[in-house]
Amino acid sequence: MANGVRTRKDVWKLATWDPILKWYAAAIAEMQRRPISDPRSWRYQAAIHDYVMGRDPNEQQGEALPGAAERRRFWAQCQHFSWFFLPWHRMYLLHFERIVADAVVSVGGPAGWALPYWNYSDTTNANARRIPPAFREERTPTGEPNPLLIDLRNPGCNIGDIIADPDEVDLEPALTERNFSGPGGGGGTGFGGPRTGFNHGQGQGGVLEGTPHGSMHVAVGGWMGRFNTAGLDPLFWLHHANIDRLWSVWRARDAVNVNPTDARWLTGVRFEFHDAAGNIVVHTSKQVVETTAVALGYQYEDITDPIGVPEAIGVGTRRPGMERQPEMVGATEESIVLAGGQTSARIAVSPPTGPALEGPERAAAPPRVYLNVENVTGAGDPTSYAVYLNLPPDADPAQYPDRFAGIVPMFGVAEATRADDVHAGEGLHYTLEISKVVRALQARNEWDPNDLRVTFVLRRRSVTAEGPESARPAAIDVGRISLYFG
Amino acid sequence: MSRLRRAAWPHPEWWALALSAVAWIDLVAWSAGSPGGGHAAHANVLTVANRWMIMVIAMMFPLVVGSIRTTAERSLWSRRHRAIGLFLAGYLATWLAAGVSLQLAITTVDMTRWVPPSLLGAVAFTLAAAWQFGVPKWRAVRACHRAARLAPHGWRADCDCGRYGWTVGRQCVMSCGPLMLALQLTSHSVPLILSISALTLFERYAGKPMPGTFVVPAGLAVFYALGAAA
Repeated sequence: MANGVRTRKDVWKLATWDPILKWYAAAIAEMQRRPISDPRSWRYQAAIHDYVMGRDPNEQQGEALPGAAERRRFWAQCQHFSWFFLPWHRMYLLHFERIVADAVVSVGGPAGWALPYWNYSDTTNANARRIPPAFREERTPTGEPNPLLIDLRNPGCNIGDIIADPDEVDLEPALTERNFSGPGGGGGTGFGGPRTGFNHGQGQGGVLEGTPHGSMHVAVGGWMGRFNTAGLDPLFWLHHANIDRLWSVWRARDAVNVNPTDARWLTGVRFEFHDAAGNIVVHTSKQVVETTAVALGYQYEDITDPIGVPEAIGVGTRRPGMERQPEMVGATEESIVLAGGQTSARIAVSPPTGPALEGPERAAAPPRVYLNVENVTGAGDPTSYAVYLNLPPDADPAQYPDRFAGIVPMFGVAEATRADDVHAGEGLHYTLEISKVVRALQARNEWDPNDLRVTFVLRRRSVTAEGPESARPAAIDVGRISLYFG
Repeated sequence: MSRLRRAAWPHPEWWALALSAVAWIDLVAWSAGSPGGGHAAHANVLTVANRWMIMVIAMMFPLVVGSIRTTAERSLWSRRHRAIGLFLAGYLATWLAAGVSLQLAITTVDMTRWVPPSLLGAVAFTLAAAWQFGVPKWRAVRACHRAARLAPHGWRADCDCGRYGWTVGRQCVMSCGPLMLALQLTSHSVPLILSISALTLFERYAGKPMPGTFVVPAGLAVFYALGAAA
């Protein structure tokens, strides 16, 4: 720790039982011994992300939960599908890290513990997409049951398999996005998410929130696959440290990548947490924009740009600050059901008649094209689908990488489907920018606006605690697929 | 292309808000012209329905700006304003049905037999304030933000827009109906209507929606109700 600034390190550059991981395990064991009513307990910390009565895998009969008012105030607060996604999770990790560091000291460890991060997108590390060894070991070095190991993860996770494909951890779509936020409404959602108020679990997310954030939640699966149990897996915190790091990477890679200056983002919503002493603390986004600020006091071991020199801004490339009014040009007439395997739908695209046709900026760059997957609902096992455009029938998707539009990870779909006092029940909404794919199709004369075929290919399925695996994944209902110019 | 037209692109709800403004002017003018004369229990059904719908347009349209915008965004550009019109028709139909039903109930059951007329407003506002803390209220607030799938073309698109308006309207009746009913049962004093509007706008747009946040505004409403009833 230099000048009071902790350094969060790459977990794959640590030895299996580096002291950072050894003390993390010991601190978790200590936090797990605390009752759930204690804000510094392991389960309370996970419940801050989300909690569903009757679906707590660690529920003990007769235990005292915090009162209803406290639960409403502090639990199920995670910000998703919102421009608060990144700042809220930064605040969340900050206090979690301090609580763990305090627990480390309480069990005899050193001061200054810092949360490591899991860089699964590191193309220089052949192991990057495997779960780090300490999280797979049955026992700690002292022979105790290992609290870093969670049995309920996807098959292969705990035996060291590679658990994600390169396109599930691809950073190019997120890091080359030059606006932090976007107008939403079918158009771009930006790097960090669309402008919203307090938003626990509905709507459309930013590019980073989809891939790699959502895709890695589903790739690990089990508890990590659900909002309400994700924080119970110790990997969750390393995953989100990496997402938080990528925010720093995005800002550092190009001077045009800037945070919102809008007061609605900076100070418009106040979020409450507990610090390591159990006291209530209140934060706004403005307070967490710089990780090395005194109040936060951490930095990442590596925030170098993994993609390389930012592309020049010119015709056809992404331009910062250009928020075009999105215009819907086509949509499916009916909802479709994804039940595994491959499912296709057709969209008839109408010629644009509004902003996509006119406006002075049209001369500067062609419109960006967005595929929207709307009102995605379903229960059961979270899944990931890969989306392709104009994939020939019965074709092997692997042979058509140039038609790959993106990943649709269903992290949070069960929560977003439920209608209660914190969820509207409209489901999830994904926006994939497909400008490159469309231009490639146009260049080969394979773009027919009257017949756009969208194919969903099941990529991954997460196991859950809710019963034995069925032969087929739970059906997902897609309300509508639409195409926007923006 | 005019600058004004471009400025209106991201705000297709502008004309719904303009209608709301006109309704507010009418509401204020009517209230000023008939002090203490708005008691629903003694007015004829058509007059009450008329006042009810003007109050809904004035107070509720600003609360559904998000849903109006969603309707436009999810429609082809050439259909945007038609879609908004159909959404609002469905939305108003829900409120009209609720208003007529309530008026029939009020005229059938003369509540002044059980509650002194001077306390009717206070009782109604106290019940409305209590409703603020219930789970059904907050489920309805969340559901008011729900976005629906809309077919892109033809009669299916028209039906979907109308149905979406009806669905959002139903949730709004659940969420704000008790407050609106309390207003309907009392004189339409401008400070009271303004305070209730401020409460509903705060509830919809400020911070995180959750029960317990509205002790002060609900108390304020009761205060106004007692003042109006005195």
